[in-house]
Amino acid sequence: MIGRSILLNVEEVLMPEDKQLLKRMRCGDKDALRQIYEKYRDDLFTVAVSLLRDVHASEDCLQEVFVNFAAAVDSLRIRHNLKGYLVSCVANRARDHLRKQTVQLNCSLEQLGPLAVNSDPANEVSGHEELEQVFEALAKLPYEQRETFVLHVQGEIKFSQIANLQNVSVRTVQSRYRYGIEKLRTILGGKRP
Amino acid sequence: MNSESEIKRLAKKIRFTPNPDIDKRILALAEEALKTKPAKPKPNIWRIIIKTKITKLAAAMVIFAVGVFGLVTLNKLTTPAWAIGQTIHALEDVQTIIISGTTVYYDSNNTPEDKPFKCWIKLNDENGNLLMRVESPREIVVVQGDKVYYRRPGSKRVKIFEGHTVRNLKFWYKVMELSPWLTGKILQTLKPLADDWQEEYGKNEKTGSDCVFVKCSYKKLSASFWFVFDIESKLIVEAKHWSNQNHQGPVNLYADSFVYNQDIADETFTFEIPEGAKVVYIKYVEQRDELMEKGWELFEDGQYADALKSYQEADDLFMVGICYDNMGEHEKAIESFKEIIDQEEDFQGGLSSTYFYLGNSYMQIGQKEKAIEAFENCLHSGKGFRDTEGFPMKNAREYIEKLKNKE
Repeated sequence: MIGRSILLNVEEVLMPEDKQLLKRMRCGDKDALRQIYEKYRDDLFTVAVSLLRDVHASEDCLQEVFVNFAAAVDSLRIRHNLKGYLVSCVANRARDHLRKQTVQLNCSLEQLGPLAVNSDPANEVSGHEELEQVFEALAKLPYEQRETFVLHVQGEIKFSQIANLQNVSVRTVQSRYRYGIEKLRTILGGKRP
Repeated sequence: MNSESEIKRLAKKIRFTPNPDIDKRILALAEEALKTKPAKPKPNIWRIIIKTKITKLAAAMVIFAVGVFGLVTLNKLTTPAWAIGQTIHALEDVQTIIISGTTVYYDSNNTPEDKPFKCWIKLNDENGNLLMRVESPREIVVVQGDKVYYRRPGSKRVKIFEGHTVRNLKFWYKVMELSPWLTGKILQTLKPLADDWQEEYGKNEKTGSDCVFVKCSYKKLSASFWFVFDIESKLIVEAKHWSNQNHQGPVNLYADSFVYNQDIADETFTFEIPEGAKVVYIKYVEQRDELMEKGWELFEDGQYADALKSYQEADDLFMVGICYDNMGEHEKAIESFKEIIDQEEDFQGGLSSTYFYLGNSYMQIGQKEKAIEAFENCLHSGKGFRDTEGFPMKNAREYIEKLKNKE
């Protein structure tokens, strides 16, 4: 399937390392594929889990994105950056999964099994607890606000890219982000501005 | 945990790692896909269109003819009477198109109502520019090459978007925002293949001529289409667009008339700026997005004065109002919010936020009655669209009660 990215001219320069890896992948270099996978796997999987909250659906999502990426690498023209492109693909796939209702929404962290929050070992135990609280609070956001927050904060995607992905204006994305933050602050015990 | 920056910091620290068995499976499949990818990339549809002499125009028209389908779908066609390549070829001889029909708007009660529209398109004026005019009771858009003019009938506010090149898809996305039913949404279907393609041969009820009826959907945009191709001319003669994947509910756009190669007077493509109108020049779409992005970063850092400048340049009246509010300049905030409301730029629930902040600003300067009125308008505007227990509906109710109890 020819994605939007194919039709846009190459504009932004990729990170040099990613550019090299893509070039090697286009020559069939499996090791380059593996390096890209290992580099972005956790970022992509985290975004998928934050959106879908379902282990198996997130694994499927990650698989679909990477397999399609590998199959289409020759015809891809990645506009912004490789990570941004892959995160966008995850977001699209997540929506597909939700549409097919193959996910069980609002799983608790415990139901995610061995995929406990894998925070920096330097964190204190109380820090880990706070991470869990934030993760659970995200589940309470309407999907569009959650998607906007996850893509912007965890996926590190600009509002303008999210706007393209969600097919809305940048202002709408900013609104969704604002409302999402307000709701998270309320849930997590913060005061409204 | 009550600050935005703290929440963001913690959210960024959340990390999940898949099971190592999953890694093995994914890598094996991806490597297989890498190995079996086609030796040569498939033709890029957009690039092929760009090379034809009709390109500049039919970014608009081709969406009806080509965009949804893509060359790959040629393989899906089994009947020799018509093939998409024939439509592409036929379009090469098209210099003008006049499209008319109806499009849906929502009134103040959010009830859908059909309004007529008409669109004139001329490829290649003497300077090689695309010319287009779109008119409906709700908007007037004129495209002259790389310049787009926009205003609402009766409004004294004119927007001019300039500097884009037609080849820049963002240009079309901006035209899409102005006239969503014309080019952009359908233009976006140039890229992926249509889903759920169905074609059926029959007779055009109006003319009795042989036609191909095509139905397809485009999941990424939650859009579905219906096209009628005349077998003799190979051109589109009717088209419908729904804002869902299932061809259900009100038709977003119904183009029931396509007239090809009719002479169109040059003055059709002039844009009249009403006397006394406020003219706003909008930066390139990318620049506008960057300005809004920058504005947001400054806003998050509490640099409201600098954020204001970015939003003013981007002509984001809503955020201009929010910035003024945060700076304590509530009268200026009120002006911005009222300008949005006057333009009715936000509908389908969007005005509810504007009314809420308007009420909030009135409250800050002690104008209680006007604040209550704005909050009540917030509730009315958001009814049926916004979550009644969420922002701004719940907050508006709480403020109304609080203000009325003070009386």
